[in-house]
Amino acid sequence: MIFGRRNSDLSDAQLVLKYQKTLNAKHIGFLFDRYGQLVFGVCLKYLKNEDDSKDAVIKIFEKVIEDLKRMKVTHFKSWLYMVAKNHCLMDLRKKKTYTTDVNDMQLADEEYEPNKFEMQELKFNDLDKAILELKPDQKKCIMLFYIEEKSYQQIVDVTNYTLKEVKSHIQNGKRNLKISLEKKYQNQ
Amino acid sequence: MGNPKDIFKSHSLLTEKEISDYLSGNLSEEQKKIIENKISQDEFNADALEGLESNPAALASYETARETVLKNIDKKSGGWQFHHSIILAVVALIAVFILGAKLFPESGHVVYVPSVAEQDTITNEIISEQQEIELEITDTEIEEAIELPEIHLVKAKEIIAESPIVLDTMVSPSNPISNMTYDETVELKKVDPIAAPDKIEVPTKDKIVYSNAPVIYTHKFLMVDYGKIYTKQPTIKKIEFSGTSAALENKDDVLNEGQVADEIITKEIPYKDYMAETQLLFGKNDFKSALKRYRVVLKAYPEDLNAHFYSALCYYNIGKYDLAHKYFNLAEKHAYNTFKIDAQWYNAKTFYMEKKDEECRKVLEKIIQDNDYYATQAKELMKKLK
Repeated sequence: MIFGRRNSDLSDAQLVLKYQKTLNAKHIGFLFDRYGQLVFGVCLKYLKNEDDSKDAVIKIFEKVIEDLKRMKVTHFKSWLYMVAKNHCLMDLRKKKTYTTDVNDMQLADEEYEPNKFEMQELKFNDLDKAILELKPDQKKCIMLFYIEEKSYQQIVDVTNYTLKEVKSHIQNGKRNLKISLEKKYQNQ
Repeated sequence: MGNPKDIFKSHSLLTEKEISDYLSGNLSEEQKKIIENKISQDEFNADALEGLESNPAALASYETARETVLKNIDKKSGGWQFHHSIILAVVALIAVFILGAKLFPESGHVVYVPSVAEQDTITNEIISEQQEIELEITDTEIEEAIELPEIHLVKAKEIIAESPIVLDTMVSPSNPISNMTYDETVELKKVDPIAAPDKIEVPTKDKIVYSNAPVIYTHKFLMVDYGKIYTKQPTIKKIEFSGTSAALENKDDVLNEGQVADEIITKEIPYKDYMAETQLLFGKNDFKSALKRYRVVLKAYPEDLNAHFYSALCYYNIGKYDLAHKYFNLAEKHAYNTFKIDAQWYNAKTFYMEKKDEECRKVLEKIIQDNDYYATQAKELMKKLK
């Protein structure tokens, strides 16, 4: 093979490495193609304003171009999410419309650990027990979504919860499962 | 029926098309579910979609932000950069060809030189020409192979859900099923519906197969646990290019004798990690990438049963039936019986795909006669034969 893969086919890590080696921002362009719209969505969620979100996307990718010159980033996606979220929270704090909770801020410079339970060989019984220990609403939604493989709307139809409640029960249930399993494995 | 372990499974990011399709509200429940899995299992996806759902009209104005970012990127790219590493690599390439022609005038051998693009790839695996001959097919041929139509592919879901539960003899043979501890090595497959969430279905005897080698489930895929077989942990050697040496950062520097543009590092990756990553690729239906990695494993460990069986499935999926048979046969006759009946079954399926009805019938008859796990499926397939 003389010409390797097209840049657009490279993984995030490979594009980051290429950028760091060449400092050619076109590699960031490919990453922007992948994540630009998602970053815009995150900005809309936090800033709740279209124009502010557009500005934020531009600034965030300027920061990405600069920061990646010197920073070691192994999980680009997670890192970018943190950069985007922190940018929005800082923006809101500047405007004094939002008091930043310490827990909301995560240092983008620190290595963000992606879903560690994915790589871990989860013990089925532990997970099963943890599901059973969830609050009834969360347990119901988690079971319907992950085991019964129902869509949000189908769960709304079955349970009479609102769409927002369904999403919230799933997210909170998942978070509680994670906490419960982390506690269990820490004690072992 | 879903699997509880999927709760912590990472899904890929949402694409622009998926986002716009989802926001349009015109998707079927099944299509929605695929996207909602991505949303529920990734905070980035979830936050982004929440924001976009709150103001779907804003998507139109995203285009102006996109243009600005791309303009900024374009300015900083400065067009195509004639980087010094490219010059050095081209010079090195020419030198190798000239030297090769002088030293081996009669030889038709092609010396494998990684291309510039390949050198830039962080995890580049070099397979020499000789090794490729042994493996009977080149990476290029793998890339160019045409995958079977979706309906005929043997995907992870089928292998995981439709195969028997395999226990290794170290944990199982004499213990009655009711007393066995499953959580160590066995992934239970089904959970009762929501009405009775506390009941877990224990696999019945006919769904269990005993392996004479220790087994492990990696990303839900059954594997022989070579970590328990070898006294020294098996590893896979990989060659990586570390990037341009600091001494050559300035493009005006002259390359001194003995200096190389990129530093070559040989890394040893634990076999278990290498295979885990490979199974992830298989799970994502990236059979070609997975296959290339199984071939790397087979270079180091020609008897590796995991690589035999899973590479055979990859060959099947890309329509290389001869090689699929070769590796299914190796898996079937392997000293470890872990994939014996699976290899038999997929061998039959391969014959079926080739429309070799007689050969297919023979294998199916044996499966039916042995009355093993795949007997029912074999009977069904038998009905389809002419």
